[in-house]
Amino acid sequence: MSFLSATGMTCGYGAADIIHDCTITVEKGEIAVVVGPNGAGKSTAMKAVFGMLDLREGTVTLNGKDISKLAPQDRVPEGMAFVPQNRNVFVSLTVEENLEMGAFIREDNEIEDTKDQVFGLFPILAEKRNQPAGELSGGQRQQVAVGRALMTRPDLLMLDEPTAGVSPIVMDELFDKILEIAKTGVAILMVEQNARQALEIADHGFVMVQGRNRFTDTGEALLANEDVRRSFLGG
Amino acid sequence: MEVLNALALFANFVVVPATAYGAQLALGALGVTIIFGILKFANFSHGELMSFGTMITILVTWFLQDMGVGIAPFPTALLALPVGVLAAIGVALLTDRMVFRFYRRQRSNPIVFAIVSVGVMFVLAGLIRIIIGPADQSFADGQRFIIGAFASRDLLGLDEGIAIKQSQVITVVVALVVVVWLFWFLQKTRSGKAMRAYSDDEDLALLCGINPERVVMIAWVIAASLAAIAGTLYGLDKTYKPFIFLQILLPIFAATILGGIGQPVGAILGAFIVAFSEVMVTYAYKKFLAYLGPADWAPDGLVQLLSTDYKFAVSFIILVAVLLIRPTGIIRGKVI
Repeated sequence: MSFLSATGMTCGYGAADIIHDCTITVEKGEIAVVVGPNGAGKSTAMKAVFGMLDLREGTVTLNGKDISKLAPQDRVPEGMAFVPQNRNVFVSLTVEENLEMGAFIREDNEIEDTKDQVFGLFPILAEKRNQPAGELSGGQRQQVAVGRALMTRPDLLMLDEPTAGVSPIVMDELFDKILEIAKTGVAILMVEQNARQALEIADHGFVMVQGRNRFTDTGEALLANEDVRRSFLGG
Repeated sequence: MEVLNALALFANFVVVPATAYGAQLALGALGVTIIFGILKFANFSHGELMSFGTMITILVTWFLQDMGVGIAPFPTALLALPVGVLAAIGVALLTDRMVFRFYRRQRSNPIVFAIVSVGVMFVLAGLIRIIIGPADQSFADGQRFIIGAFASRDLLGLDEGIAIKQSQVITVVVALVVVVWLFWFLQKTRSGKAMRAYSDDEDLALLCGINPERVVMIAWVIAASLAAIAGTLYGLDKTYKPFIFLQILLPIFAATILGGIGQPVGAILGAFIVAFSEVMVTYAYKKFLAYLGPADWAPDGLVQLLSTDYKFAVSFIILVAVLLIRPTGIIRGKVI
């Protein structure tokens, strides 16, 4: 069984189901990317994995433990960290305070070490540590959001469109950082609009269409797949 | 000399009383702004919370006075204040548990909360009138003046003196200590940062593992403590009358909104602006102008812009002006 294994998920908002029998898996140290056209249910699937939506069918297990019934905040101590697409930093708190809030549930004495690691990964944050996060640029905010999530020392990092609204250069930088994070042994699951670039760094890709898994393969294979290229990657 | 006399007069009748009044309003407005920041509603029961804490302080003060316990030359009420603070905290947590928590779980909108707090206000007001009655209560003892009008006149060598009451100095000192502590708590402690984070974004705070019920509890403890302290200082400086605490909501809300709702610094700023406006507009400038004008000249009228009976109109005008011109307040706060 995979480290994160969300199988047969069916759920939605209210009575109507948005995703049907959807399966997403990630291994430790790997990057899994969920791609697909607008309205395919990518973000919904992500929310379902994190417990922000109740599953009608299916299960979510993390490291072999069934967490399907846990509330989102109870999944954080289990090793999950989630970076929402919008409103993912405390705008009135400084960068450093944002990171401290990320470590709120931790009671060990190594919080400073983790903070230094995050500053090592994102040097710009160290520079702006005393500035309110609301004053930073979009790309820098995303770094704060990812840094805050890393402060919990997660085993699984979930990112909902981390590159939405940032420039191509910043996007490349962010992807580099995500690769670095994966190398430390963290499992990464992300939803992406920039499908081609995301699949290039992905170990596994899940192509979703109309709330269902359409293609599931390695990132490389999906990029090489004629159908996927024609339908979703623009040729 | 005439200019100095005018300034001394102004200091005696405007600056000193307005500073003490501003400090009292600031403590009240801080409580309202903290509840707004965390629970996202305008708490109309805050005035009665002040009244309740003050009432308990008065009852304990009387008890101590009967027992002959005191801390002369300071007022006995300072000794009784911790009990008043605890009682206010108790009432706040009890009403939260019995009333507000229910609506929190329903995820009611802020208007519902505000109306509910009006209900809590009436219940508390009734309770207070049953316990201590609707009449004036005096409980101030200890030395009345730090420096009297005559003594200061001789000291300054002027025709006008600047009298400073002990209650005014205590008000300002206590307010200063409380405010410094509050800002230290919010800026430097883990719980304080968690409160700011929760105020900023509840959902994200939940993702960080911040317990909302705990944040709400701390908010009530702080607001109730500030309320009891503010009410007691106001009572010491002026008098304790249960009816005042409905009226005082107006300048407190005006200060909160003027400063920017949910902004502690703004609440303090707003409180002093409201206090100074109120005192300056209702002060009769006749004598002041007489000092500044030619010798043996004085204005015919009192040169009072507004009768003191209308002092609450000042808060109203400020409130309306802020909502029309800059609804976010001086320091950009939330808009209801």
